[in-house]
Amino acid sequence: MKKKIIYLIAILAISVASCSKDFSERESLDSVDVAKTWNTADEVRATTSTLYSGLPWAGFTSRAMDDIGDVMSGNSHSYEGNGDYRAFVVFSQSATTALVGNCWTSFYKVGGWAASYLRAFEMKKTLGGDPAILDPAIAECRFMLGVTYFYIVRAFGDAPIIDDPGKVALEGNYNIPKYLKADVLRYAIEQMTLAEEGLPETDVPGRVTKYAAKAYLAKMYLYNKDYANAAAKAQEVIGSGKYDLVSTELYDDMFNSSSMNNNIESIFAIQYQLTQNPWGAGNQLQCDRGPSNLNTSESSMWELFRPSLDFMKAWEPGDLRRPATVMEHGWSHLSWKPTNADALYNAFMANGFVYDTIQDAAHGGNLNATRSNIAKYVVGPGSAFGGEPVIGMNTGQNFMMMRYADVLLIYAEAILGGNSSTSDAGAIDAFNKVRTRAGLAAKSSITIDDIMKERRMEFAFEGDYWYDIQRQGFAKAKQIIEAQNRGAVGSPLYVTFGENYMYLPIPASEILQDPELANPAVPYYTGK
Amino acid sequence: MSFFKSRIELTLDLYKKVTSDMLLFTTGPTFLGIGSAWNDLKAPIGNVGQMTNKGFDISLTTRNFVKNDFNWTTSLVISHYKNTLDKLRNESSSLTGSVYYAQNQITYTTPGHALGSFYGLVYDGIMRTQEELNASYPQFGSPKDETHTWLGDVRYKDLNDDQVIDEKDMTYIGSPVPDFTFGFTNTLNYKSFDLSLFLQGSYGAEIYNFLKWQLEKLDNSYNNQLATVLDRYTAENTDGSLPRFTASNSNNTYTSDRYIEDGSYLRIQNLTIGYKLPTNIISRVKMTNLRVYMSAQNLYTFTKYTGYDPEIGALDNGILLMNVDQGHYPNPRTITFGINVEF
Repeated sequence: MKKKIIYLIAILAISVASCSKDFSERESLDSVDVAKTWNTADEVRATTSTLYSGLPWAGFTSRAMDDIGDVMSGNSHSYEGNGDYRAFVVFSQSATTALVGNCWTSFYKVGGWAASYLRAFEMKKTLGGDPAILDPAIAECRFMLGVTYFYIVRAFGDAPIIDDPGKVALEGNYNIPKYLKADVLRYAIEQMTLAEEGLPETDVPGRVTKYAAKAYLAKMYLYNKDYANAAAKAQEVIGSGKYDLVSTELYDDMFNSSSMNNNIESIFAIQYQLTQNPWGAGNQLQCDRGPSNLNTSESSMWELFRPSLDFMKAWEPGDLRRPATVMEHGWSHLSWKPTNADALYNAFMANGFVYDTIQDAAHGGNLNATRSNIAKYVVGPGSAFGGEPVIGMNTGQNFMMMRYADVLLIYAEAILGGNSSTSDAGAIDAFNKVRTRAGLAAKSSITIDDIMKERRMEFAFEGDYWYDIQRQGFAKAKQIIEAQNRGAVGSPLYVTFGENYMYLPIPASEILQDPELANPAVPYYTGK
Repeated sequence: MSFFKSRIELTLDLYKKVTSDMLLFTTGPTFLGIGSAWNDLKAPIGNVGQMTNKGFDISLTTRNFVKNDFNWTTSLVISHYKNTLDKLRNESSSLTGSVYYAQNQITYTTPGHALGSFYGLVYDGIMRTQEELNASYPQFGSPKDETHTWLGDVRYKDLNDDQVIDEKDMTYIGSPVPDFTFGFTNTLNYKSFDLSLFLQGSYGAEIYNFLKWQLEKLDNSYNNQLATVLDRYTAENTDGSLPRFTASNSNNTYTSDRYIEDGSYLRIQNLTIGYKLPTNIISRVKMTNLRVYMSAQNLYTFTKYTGYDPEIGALDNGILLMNVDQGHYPNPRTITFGINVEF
């Protein structure tokens, strides 16, 4: 073991979907010998491309993200009788809840891959590897570590930090403590700062750059209430001119057309492939969101998640994001021409897909519990029915983890700082860019509630609103959540929100294997 | 050893096998981020531990009758072994086995125990009255109300007496390793008749009936369930044998001995009865031998196990998921009728 090859890493070589020749396709390897591989940029980038693939993120993006980001926050509603999802509507998730475990596993999986690659690349450097090739890849790994630990600290609060998974696994000492959430966030910021230093100014579409790291740093500083740094980092992204908002006309295409993958607004996106093999490499949001009356032989849809009544009530009149975000009575997409075995269904859809709550549900109508469906990330019924290609549950639509609209709203919020309102020209301008794209009237002065409201409508069903509620503190979170009607039409549901639900519990099976996790958190940074 | 002119033969094998420097994926809690699942970045393989198998095999063959027109031979084979994981790389290491998209951890083994031991909470009945609910300890931090812990929910034993139910109340709830397995063969010949009977069985192993977990889960109104769920706790059926339906409280279905069953069984693996027609009859049609027989495979199984088949084996990735019943292709019962003809 003490030879130059410290350990072999088996890699699931999932090449990222890409429109560029610079991404290389590689057959999967059983293991990698550090001395023999990573000699070319293509080899190194093929390895880091797996961090962008849907595979390691699948436990999060498929369902846990909806459950936490949107069901818990009251944007989404889920089936009442379904044990995997109901807990997040009524706040009864515990250390025994399966989806909590999936989310935990997925974040640590991405983190584990990134940290393992990072160690291996550093080892390669000591063996004479080319720093010009390896350093940007190391920065990419740090970017992913920053992103995952930012999710970990927001979802779970105090949590373990695994800097060198291979070493921990080989030593077998699993008694790793929980670290204070302030330190977990600091760790995320540290990784992202190093990523910012090491990432290139520009890269091919889909790859992260310095500016993607800056965008995340801005958000992390904002969560840390470090408004000066948050504003500075957001300004660096805005001032770079590298990103812009997608136009009002193309807003819906950002979410339902893979031709818009890695668009001008997209800063970091999971690069999905239109495939069902390996499981998770395709985007599986459509099946859980699309209305059941759009289900075809090519495309599965079962509307596990739907807009909540509270969310539908939150729309301002004239908001042009509405049809891109939700389907409701009268909504149509006429180039989609779904058919099935039912003649009356086919007659009803003959002129294109129409969302109708009056038509008989057996013949093309849809009268679900909240009378609406999520439109974001629903790309349609498949290529045989006038949409783009779909394979069962899978679409090839990239999922945007960070987009430029977020940076604009982060900037506005950072300038607002802790103040009750601001009419700072820069803040107002950034805020109004997002708002006027949606066809809404510009504001001349904004408050934190204005920003949160705008964030809710802009990023609905993108898995972020829960953290917006959470970071305003327990009292405000309780007030927001307890005011929400989280039920269905005809059966309103109001819940009591306890402080123990601010963060997800660590899965019981993990505490079993590492009893330290049951003890109070300890500092990660000592004496610094 | 053989006695009485080979009328009794006895073979006894004793063994102790110590496997040191076991090569395994050095997996641990999922927060390591690397592991051994299909979609994991593979953890390094290391010489992670040592295990011991101790056991014996007894084989006893007796020729009970050796006569011209009556022969009866019995052969009995009994095997017993004990598996112990002696040590792992570190005192805090353990080995785990999970099923159902890796969501349910069923086995957990620390040194001193058999590999693939079932590990979970201990069921302590259903809370049927307000008094029982009030007196119960909080489970995984859940408050007591209808969406969390409520009437009709499972009560678990507080093994460490800290008045809360959590992972510290989990314990070894069963072993997939049988106390012994056996095969018992009888061969009889009486005049023109022959009969052979092969019995096979296993005693003392536990089964984690995960199929029952799925089919009596009672947390999802969109899943198919067994008819047994009709007798669940409801306000009208407070003495129901199963807990209430709840989509919001996941504690009821956590890994526990509710799903542990005795996996002992005795199976009539084969029964064959044959009859040779008298040579004076068959020689007329120029045959030297004509035997008609009936053979039944997997004729009957005596067991208390409620699943389809107590003979389960190891699921997917081997020794960490032995005797976990997730459903498997059933063992067919085959009945064969045949004629052996020689000219």
